[in-house]
Amino acid sequence: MKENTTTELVGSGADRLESFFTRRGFVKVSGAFVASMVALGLLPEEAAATPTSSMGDVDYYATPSHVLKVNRSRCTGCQRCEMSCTLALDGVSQPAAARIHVHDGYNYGKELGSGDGIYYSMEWNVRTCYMCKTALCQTACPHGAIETNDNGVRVVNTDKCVGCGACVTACPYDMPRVNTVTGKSAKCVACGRCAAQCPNGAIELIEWEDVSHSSGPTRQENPYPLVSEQQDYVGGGHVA
Amino acid sequence: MADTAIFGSYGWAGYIARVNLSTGDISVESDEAMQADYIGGMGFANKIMYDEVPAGTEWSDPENKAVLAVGPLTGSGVPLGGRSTWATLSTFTTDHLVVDAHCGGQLGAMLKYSGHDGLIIEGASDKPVYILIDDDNISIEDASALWGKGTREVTEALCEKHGLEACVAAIGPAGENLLPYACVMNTRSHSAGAGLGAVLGSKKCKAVVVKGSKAVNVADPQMVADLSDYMIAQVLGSNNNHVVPSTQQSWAEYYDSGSRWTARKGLYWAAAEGGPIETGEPKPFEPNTMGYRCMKSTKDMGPAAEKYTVKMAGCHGCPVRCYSQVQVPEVYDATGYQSSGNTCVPNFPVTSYFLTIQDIDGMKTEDGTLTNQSVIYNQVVSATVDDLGLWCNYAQLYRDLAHTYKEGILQRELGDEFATYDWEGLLAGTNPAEWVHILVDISSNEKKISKLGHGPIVWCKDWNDMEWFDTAKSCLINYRGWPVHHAIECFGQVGGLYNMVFNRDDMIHSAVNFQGCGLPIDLKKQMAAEMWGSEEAIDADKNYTPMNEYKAEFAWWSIVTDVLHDSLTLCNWVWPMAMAPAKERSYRGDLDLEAQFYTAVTGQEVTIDDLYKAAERIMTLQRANTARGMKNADGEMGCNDFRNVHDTITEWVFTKDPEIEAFTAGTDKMDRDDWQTALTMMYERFGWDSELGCPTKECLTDLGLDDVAADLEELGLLTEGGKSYDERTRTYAGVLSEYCGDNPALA
Repeated sequence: MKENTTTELVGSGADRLESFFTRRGFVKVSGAFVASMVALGLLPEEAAATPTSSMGDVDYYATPSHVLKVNRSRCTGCQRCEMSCTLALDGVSQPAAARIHVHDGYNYGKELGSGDGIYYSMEWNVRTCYMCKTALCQTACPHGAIETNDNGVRVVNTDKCVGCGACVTACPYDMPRVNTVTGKSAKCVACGRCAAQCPNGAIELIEWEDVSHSSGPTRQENPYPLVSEQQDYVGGGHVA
Repeated sequence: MADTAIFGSYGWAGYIARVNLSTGDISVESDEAMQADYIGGMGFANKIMYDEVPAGTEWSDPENKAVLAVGPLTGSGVPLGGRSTWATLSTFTTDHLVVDAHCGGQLGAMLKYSGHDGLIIEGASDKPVYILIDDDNISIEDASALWGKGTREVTEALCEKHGLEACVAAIGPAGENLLPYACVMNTRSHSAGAGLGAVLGSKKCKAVVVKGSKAVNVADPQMVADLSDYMIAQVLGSNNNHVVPSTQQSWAEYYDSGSRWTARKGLYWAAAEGGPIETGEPKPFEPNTMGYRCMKSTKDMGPAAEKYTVKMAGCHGCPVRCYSQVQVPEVYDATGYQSSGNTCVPNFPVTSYFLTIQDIDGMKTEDGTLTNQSVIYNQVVSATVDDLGLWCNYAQLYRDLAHTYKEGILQRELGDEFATYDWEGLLAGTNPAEWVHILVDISSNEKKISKLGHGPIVWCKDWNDMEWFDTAKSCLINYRGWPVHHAIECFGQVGGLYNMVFNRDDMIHSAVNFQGCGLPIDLKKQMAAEMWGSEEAIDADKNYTPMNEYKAEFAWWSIVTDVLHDSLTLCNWVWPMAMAPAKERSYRGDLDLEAQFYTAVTGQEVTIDDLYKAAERIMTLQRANTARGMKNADGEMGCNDFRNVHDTITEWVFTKDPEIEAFTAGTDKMDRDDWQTALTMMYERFGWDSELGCPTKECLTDLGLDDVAADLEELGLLTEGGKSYDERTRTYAGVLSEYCGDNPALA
């Protein structure tokens, strides 16, 4: 757990609210409402006692309205998702700053030795924002630059973002990117443009569910040995 | 809209990197002055070759250059914008003149994202090096530890060192050994051929490594998105822009067994992770099933390939997924490589080329179906040549190998080495690993069999077999050493003509895509009338009519569209959009899309006619460069008699099918007099000298190439005359607009 306990408690409180409210119908509540929820025992006292977040208001969120779900076996590696993402949201084609990542695993998967990539299993990961219930990118931002929009989706306020990369470090899935050109962070806003452009239907924009453990394998269970560690192959054949 | 203050210019990155391997100098220069006239890609690369590499330079000289370039649409989000073009001197065709080598994969897009439209590699190192481009940081690095390695191992080592996201374009042993048939490989199986690998080998340049985090700045990103959506929904077909399925399907009015729209119910990516994925019946107006339309593994290798098929893949930014991705256990056993697959010759080298000349047992069943063993044979070759960086001259290597074996030439010429090969096992279909042995030896450039990798202009002469050029089965289409790339079998004279114009096989697909798209001939004739002026522009297969001006127009259009795409860069294996799968638009394509995308990306208003003119300029510039270096019959350098020295179609096109007259049903045979007429009409369409086929003073002036005219004049190679640009030029803008009501740029 991170040190920012106030926000953590806020997050855990929001989790508890899920069973009480229609999950995606609930976006943001007022401080007074929070107080009444505490009185009913539905939120921890700390939530009302320290009604603050990095923005200065109490932010209680329900989970985001939508999330991307992927099927990597259908992905054919065209990377139109990355270009479409930045065309839609940044006005440029810049895969390195995209909010979805295919390219970095296309050659060799998650890491060399994963057994994946075009050189081995021909599978690679389509890495998307999981729209976490407790968004560590948001809680880690020292400038409160990652805000929650009306759909419960965390978005980067580029006026506040200083490009420090705390969100990149905090995200357990290595999703946000600090754009090397603009110096601003970028994360998925669940607009669905990548899914609309996927020629293989490997990406879907679905109503929120916890997708963090539902994307299938992310590496081979029994990877083939690395070519560079098999010194007897040169030029397509056994040398020995 | 993007902020140009942050991102720089639109479309182009604006800079070309120059790396001199002799001096170690590294610099970056603006390409702004070339953008309007030469577009990018092939245009940039040919302009640089013309300006900087003197006529008479040998391909292996340090003075030769290898120029990689991309264009304004590369990596911009425009569909099929993942290609790149290299230009250098040919290693394998007569006089070693300027050639282009194209490749997809990740290289072009990554170069663009690094902030460069091009890379000029000049000079030569005295020790193995590789070039590292990491955004603005460009360096020459030591490659001593990589020398001798295959392209897979090199890629793995360099990705481990520089990041797994890096694109590595590497030469293998073939390039190191200066074998003329050597290529440069990126992304496992994407090759840039024409001997480029040997040129890099002569410079001791093992690889180019590119990492890019920058943006392609786009003037109107919403229009790029809207045009992409429109194109993908209703204009774009499958591989080669085939627009009807290969089997009868409920949604489709037409089907054609030759179509590369091969998805169907009951056909699966059977080895997909998590279980088979059905290709099904993807239809027009279904953007999210586009990538299933082309099931290439079974199309190329027969039904036995289905069980090995993991998925399809292809180049950066392309929604048409044409690259087979197969995992064949026996290939791993023979080569050590788990994955393989391609979309071109290396996907089917044995069954489609070797077997046309020399049988191998066990490759086909009695009814002609390709067997499981044939898949293994094809993919062992595929994995091997890609790792060796061994190019095949568009399958000529496999035809030549089969022919020289079958006719006893190898036995005669190889001496003791002949017996070192297990021909018996290879031809019995029982020894796939013998392909590795043969291909490694060819790549060594030391064995006698290596001569096949020098091209037919060398081995046919040295082994006394020049009549091979005159044999239909050789598929050699030009005495200067290149084979057919969709030639007379593709609209007769039209295909023959565009096979003549470059210094290698043409790789022009504008015409063959239309031929094979699957629409009925009567409909295609209506479409031909709209696009090229008359139904007479095309004939039904093997039922040709004599040459006419509309065929010349079609041939011209085929050439300039190809050159345009290689410059923008877009994939000419699918572009141009001459036809479409949607019945709702009467199957008409949209010829304005290149110009509309160009305008949306760069912010500069152009018509398709403007772009065709730029492509004509690039083609004519290469023609002028060829004239400077081409030798005449007396061996003197500098020759403008293209008709008799360069555009020399091989004899077999006139002598095949001896029992059938030309221009009767059942043959694609050509007629000698008609062929000369065809050359004349094509020359006139380009404004070239109608007798010699060289660019004239008026033609060069029309295209703004007065400096080139002055160069040719000084060399005594300039003639005058030719039709003026306005006199010879049709207008293409808007010719299909009545069918393009949904085009967002027309709204």
